[in-house]
Order: sequence, then structure tokens, then C-alpha cells
Amino acid sequence: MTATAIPPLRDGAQELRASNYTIYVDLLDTSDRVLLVHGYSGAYDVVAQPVADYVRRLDTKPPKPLHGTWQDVGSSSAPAAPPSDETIELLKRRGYLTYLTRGEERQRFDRFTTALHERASAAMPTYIFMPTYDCNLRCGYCFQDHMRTDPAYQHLLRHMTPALVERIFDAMPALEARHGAQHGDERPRSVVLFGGEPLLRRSRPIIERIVAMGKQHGPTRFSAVTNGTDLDAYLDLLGPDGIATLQITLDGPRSGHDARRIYADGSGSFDRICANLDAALERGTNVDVRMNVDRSNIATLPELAQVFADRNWAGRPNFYAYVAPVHGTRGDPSAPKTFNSFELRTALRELYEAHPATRAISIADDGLRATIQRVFKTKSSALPIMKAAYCGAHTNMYVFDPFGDVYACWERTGDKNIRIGWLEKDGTLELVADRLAAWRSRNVSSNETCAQCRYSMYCGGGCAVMAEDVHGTMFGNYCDAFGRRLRTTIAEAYRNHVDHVEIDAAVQELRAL
Amino acid sequence: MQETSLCESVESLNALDLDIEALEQRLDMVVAATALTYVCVADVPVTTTVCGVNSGQ
Repeated sequence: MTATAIPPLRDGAQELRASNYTIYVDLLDTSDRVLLVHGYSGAYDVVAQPVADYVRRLDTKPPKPLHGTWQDVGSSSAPAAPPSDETIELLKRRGYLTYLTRGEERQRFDRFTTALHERASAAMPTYIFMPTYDCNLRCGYCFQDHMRTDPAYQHLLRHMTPALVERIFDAMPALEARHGAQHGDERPRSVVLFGGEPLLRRSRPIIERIVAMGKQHGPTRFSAVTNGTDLDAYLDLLGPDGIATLQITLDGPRSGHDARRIYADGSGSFDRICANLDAALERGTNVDVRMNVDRSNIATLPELAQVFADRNWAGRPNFYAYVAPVHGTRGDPSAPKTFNSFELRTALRELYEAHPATRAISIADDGLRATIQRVFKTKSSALPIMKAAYCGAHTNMYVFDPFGDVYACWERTGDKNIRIGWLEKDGTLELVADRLAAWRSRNVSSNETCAQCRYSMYCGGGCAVMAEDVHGTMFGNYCDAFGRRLRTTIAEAYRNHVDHVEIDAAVQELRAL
Repeated sequence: MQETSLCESVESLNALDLDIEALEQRLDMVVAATALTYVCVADVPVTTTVCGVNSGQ
């Protein structure tokens, strides 16, 4: 049988076309093949270039940049001969080709996103405790800095009381019932301490109370996002049985860090944080060091990586370091000093080449790359790594501030006009139905840009707060060059997978000798 | 049965029995099952979520 010259018609009605959600990944070491990824079926297939060209020819929606300055790969203009019926049938089964109309495929996409969103929303809630909005540091880029420096916000700087902590724990069963939990549910709940600075020395009694009550209520995972300056007051609460994970920021080696992360008197915090970090690691606490990076401090990362080596942090199983881009004002990622996430990734890769010790510092995409490699190795479904919503603000997160107000997102707090609920003095939990529904309904089907984007079920639509900054509503996209990052990440995962397969085969051969 | 030449080779890397029509028919069941799988692979962080606004912490 010869290859079919014209795409077959279904019932003589609709033409075969490329799915709107087909992702084309150029491989790193060859131009003979292309890795196709389907954006909601979760299929990954390496195909010969002519097959990819054929699919591209049927792609009536060429990729385009949605936000930012990156350029996507355009559709192939080369003529592409159709592959065999058998290959076309396989490409249909995997999702890359379809007879569905755009509208019908959009409905299918919505069904997939709804299923994934409902799955994520049924997870046990994550509770964020904000013991105070106060902080002992005055970092110029902090999104909450005005709360400490502008007298108009002085009223916010109160501290959580033991009575409020009890009311929060008393409210948990009602909240958990909203997520399908029943009495005696043994799934662990997550408690995250956030602020302000949650681990200020003066907050020790209230934090002790939160940890004790959490343990009383059942399996609980505790973590904290802290500046690490007063950790010495909490050492006995740290470790696998207590506050198991800390996120601590270091913005460079001593000189750079102490220019940015300063006390109110202008003095630096580097030495104190490092000493506390030593102690936390010794207690078995998982420590994630975050570096907020822009063009002014990225060159200091090799020196910081040397600090990690000198202090014997690098290589410890409970130590992890990663970079996050400092965002420009009003969410403009093209601001002169800042990187978008792809630019930061590229800059870090260049540092890896010049300064190998810098490899101790990861980027967020490294976790995704490792997970995709595992999908390749186990040949499993990719659905578990796909998501319809960006973060817990749209599924199962509740943020409690020192006033007993409840928010969906820790970056949208301190304003009663946007709270999703509050706790009355008698413990009654009041929820603001329309605000809660708005936060919980944001997913990649709830705005037209994401709903038409082939990458959206890997990014979840991006951060709602950043989207609101750009569009004036959270029901919009915030891409931050995600498409390009994803394609590069998948290409790297495939190269690593092939390398590992070859190494495994060589080992097997040697063993057989 | 047609012959598959090198110029049209397709190597499926995962979910070898995937059929999107069948997947859609039993989507709820599949998604529920994948949630369990997710727990099993959770030792590898899937950290595409990094909070957007600059954190003071």
C-alpha cells in the first residue's frame, strides 16, 4: 500500500488537522528527529523530521509568543509527504492529529483541565499561618516592605494570639470537609509558617503553640519561609519531627547579601543566617536556600557556591539551593535589571560552564526535568506532572493572618477588602463565597489565552498575582517565557535519558563479559 | 499492513497504550489513579511553581 496522499476525512465531514495542543521540541544533538509532546494527553514521542513536518503542515495555529520577548519556532514551510496510514493512526491515538473541530477540541481540553483541577482541589488543605506582618529586615525589593516602612500600615504589625491559633485549628475540620475529608482522615495536612518574618525571636511562644496543636490534630508537615536571622531561638523545634523544611534567602556572598538583606539600622544579616543554617542542617532540617537574582548580582553566584562548598552544605541530602528571578515593578519582566525565567536559566547555564561549582545552585526547571526523565525511564503517564491551576491559591490553600482574616494567596494579604473569609471571635468561620469561588475557579480553561495555549497544562497559567499586574485581572496569562523553558527542559531530559540508557547498556555488556 | 520506513519512524517514550479517545472516556478514573502515582514519585520535586512576587523572606 502506498502512503495516503490526502488526509482522510471522517464521515466525509471534517479534515484531519494537527491538535491545537501539539508541542514540537527540537532535540539538542540531532535535526533528524523531533520530540512531539501532546499538551493534555501527556504523550511523548520522538518522530522522524518528515513526520514532524507533516504534523506541522496540518497545524493551523503556529506557536506565537504570548508574553515576553522570546521567539518561538515557526511552522515548517517545506513540503511534507504524508506518512503511512498506520503512522497517521498512531499520531491520532496519541492526540497529535485529530478530526475534532477547534471548538470540539476546546471542549475536550476543558474536560481534561476540569478533571485535573478537581483532583488537585480534593487534596488535603495547606494552611499558611502568618504570625505577624512584621519583619526585622528591610529588603528594598520585598513586596511587603511598605508594611514596615509606611506609617499608614502600622496597624498591620500586630502578632497572632494563642486564642486565634486555637480558633484556626478548630476551623480546620469544616475546611477539610470542603475538600472531601472525613472525620479521622489520616492524610497529612501541611502547615506553612509565613509572614512578615514568622520566626522572629519574640514569636517563639506562638510558633511553639502552632506546632504543638498541629501534632495534636493529626499527621502534619511543618515548614517555614523565613529569613533565618532568629533561627537560634527555634532549634529545638526544627527537624524531621517538627518544622521539617525551611526556605531561607541568601542573595549572594556576604558583601552582596549584606547590601540587600539588611536590618533597619542598615547592618547585614549574612553571618547570622549562615550560623543558623549550619545548626538547622545539623538537626536534619531540610533547608532550601533561595537566591533572588537579577543582573546586578548574578555574577556573585560562583562566590556563593564556594560558600556552600566551604561550609560543607553542597552535597548534603537535606540542602537544596535555587535561584528565583527578581521581578520588575508592575510585573514587567523586561525591566533593565531583571531577568525573565528563561534568561535567568540561560545565564545560569553559562555560569555552570565557566564555574562548575555553581552547579550546586539549581533552577526551578531542574525538578521538572528530573520528573520528565523519570516518565521516560518508567514509560509512565505524564498526567501526574500536569496541572490545570498554577498553585494552591486556586485549589486548597488557606492563609490565616494575625487578625483572623483568611486569604487564598499569601501575596494578596493585609487588606480585608480582598479576604476570602474570617474567623469570628466565637470561632465561627465566615467565607466570602464569591471571592473564594473566584480564586478557586482560576485554571487554564478560565481565560481564553491559556485555554488555547499548547503549554498551559504544564505551567498552570502562571502566577495570578503577576497576571493581575499585567492584565488588571487574575483571569489572564502570565507566561514568563514558559514555552521556551519547557521545550528546553524536555530536550535536556531526553538527552539525559538517552545518555543513561546508553550507560546502562554499557554496564550490562561489561557485566556479561 | 504498511511498512514503516526510517523517514517516518515514531518512537513512543511513555504511556505506550495511550489512546486519547479511551483516555477521555475513563478520565476521572485515570486522574484519580494518577494522584496515587504522584505520591509515589513525589521525592522528585516538581517545582514549576515559584511564587511570583519578590519575597522578603
